[in-house]
Amino acid sequence: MPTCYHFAKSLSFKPSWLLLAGLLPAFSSWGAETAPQQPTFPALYFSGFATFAGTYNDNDAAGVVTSFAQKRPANKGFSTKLDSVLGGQIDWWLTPTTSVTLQGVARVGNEMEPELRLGYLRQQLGDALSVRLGRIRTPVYFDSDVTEIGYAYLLARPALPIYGLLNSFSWLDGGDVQWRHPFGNTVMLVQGYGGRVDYAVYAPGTTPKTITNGEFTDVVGLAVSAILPRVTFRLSYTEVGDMHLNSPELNVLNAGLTQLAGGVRLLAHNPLLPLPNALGLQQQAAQIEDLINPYDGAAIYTSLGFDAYLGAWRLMGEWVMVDPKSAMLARHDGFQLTAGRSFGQWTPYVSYAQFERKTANLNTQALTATGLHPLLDAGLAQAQAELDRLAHASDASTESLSVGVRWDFRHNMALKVQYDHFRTPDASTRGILAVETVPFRNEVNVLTVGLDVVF
Amino acid sequence: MKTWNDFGLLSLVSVLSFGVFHAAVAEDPLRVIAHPAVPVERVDAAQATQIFLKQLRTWSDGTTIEPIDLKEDSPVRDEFYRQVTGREPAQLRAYWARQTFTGMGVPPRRAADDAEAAQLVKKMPGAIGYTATEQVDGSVKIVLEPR
Repeated sequence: MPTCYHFAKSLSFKPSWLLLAGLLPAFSSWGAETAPQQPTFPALYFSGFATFAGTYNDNDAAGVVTSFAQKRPANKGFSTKLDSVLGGQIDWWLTPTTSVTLQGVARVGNEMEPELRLGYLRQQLGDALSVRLGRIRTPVYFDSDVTEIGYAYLLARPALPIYGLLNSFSWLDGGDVQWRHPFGNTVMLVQGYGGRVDYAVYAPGTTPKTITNGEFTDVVGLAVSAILPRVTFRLSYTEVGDMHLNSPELNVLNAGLTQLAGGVRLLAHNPLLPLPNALGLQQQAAQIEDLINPYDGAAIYTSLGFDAYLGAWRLMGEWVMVDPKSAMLARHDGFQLTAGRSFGQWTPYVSYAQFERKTANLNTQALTATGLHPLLDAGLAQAQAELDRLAHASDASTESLSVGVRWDFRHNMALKVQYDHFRTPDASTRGILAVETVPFRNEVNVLTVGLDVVF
Repeated sequence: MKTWNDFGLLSLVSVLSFGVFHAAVAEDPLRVIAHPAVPVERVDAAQATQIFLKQLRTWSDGTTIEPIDLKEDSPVRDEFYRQVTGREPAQLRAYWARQTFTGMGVPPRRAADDAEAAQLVKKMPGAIGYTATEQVDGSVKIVLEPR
């Protein structure tokens, strides 16, 4: 499809995009209004952020998404769906130590449907301790709470290979406790958090397209930051006690596995079978039942990162590990390194990110043919093929190289131009890309021009 | 209707005034001042950085630190953050955008100019600010002279 058609289609029939553009003149200033001058309580403050960004993707088989919660990928040609977002925030200070914060966003990639990102009551308990109860942004990785706030970030977006999966759940319903204390020239910030996440994943990489609902419960985590004058280090550890995914496709799979396990168990009851064979079939049936709800289990997220201001240089880096304790999902780890240098209002930068699967695919040996019942064996083979396909689809291995420049041309606006090259290990690995069918050309070039605003 | 000459003249005036203004800022003595009762006589640039980024929030005696900033368009403010924190104005705005929209903090109170900043520092226990005015009377403490 011609690129110009995509351009016209994107701009002409999207009232939401026009709304974003129409708001631009209103974003005249930021700062004075967001900071209490001579506060009297209660006090109400409004602020907001927006990103107007267009991307050009050169791959007709692989879309680019900031998360799998994004309904519409940035497919081949021009698109405004990857980064464009409008956010508004209300801070209501009831007393100098008690406040309520609400923040909503609307993303072009999610058809501008409003989503609540922050909704909490904050209580300061002395100078060192504060508590937030309600919905907070995900504090799991170094930059996971800032992914949609383009102005606050150097690049067009945090590195997708390591943030793409995590961005699917941008919030945590629960709360956190923050404790802050200086030790010499280092301020230690300890943030303990907990709660649950309910989210929806739109899976363009599986056929048929379907919505998967995810529930992360019993989420607990601890982030420790060492804040030096020019550099911040942050270590975080998050446990997801119970992870459950639900979708129509999974329900069909589970029903099939249940039937197959029942069939194998029925075979085991055949009195003509030798005892060892019968016991083997009983064991096989139990192993098949273990494959029901293959995505469910627990998960551990670990991150170690830094952000340094060294004169005109800005250096950022992070190592992350995701260790799901489920049959289907494999352990991945990755890192990103970013360097930028300021020349007045201009900051060119370069960034490299890599995310790799570290453990083997799902073991589907339990679905090998019994050799006793052709119809049952055909069902086992079909289920094995489907599970192997899903296991391969959950390989998020991806690397990216990004080069760009940020131009802070106004006091509350920044223009960014960024080129990204994404690559997955092979033509059958989707990585964090939105791919319908494999094999595909597993390299994607994306050019982004974006305007970030805070107001 | 403006002519190209008008634009040329405006540009020339702008360039000249920009140069004169920056020369004035560069010559003014930038000082970090604090309420006389704060329990320190000096702070270093690292401490000042953490105070004005609101990472450090209490003095050693437990008093709440009240940093007083200047308005966004103040050249003194830009110079202060460049000299003391090593951050460009845009980096600073990005920092506060991050703090604000992640719910981790709000920027310091802002004064309209140096004089108001000095007044606020003088009146508020625990306050610390900065000024580039020549006259700093004994009602506040000078705790850092970046140059």
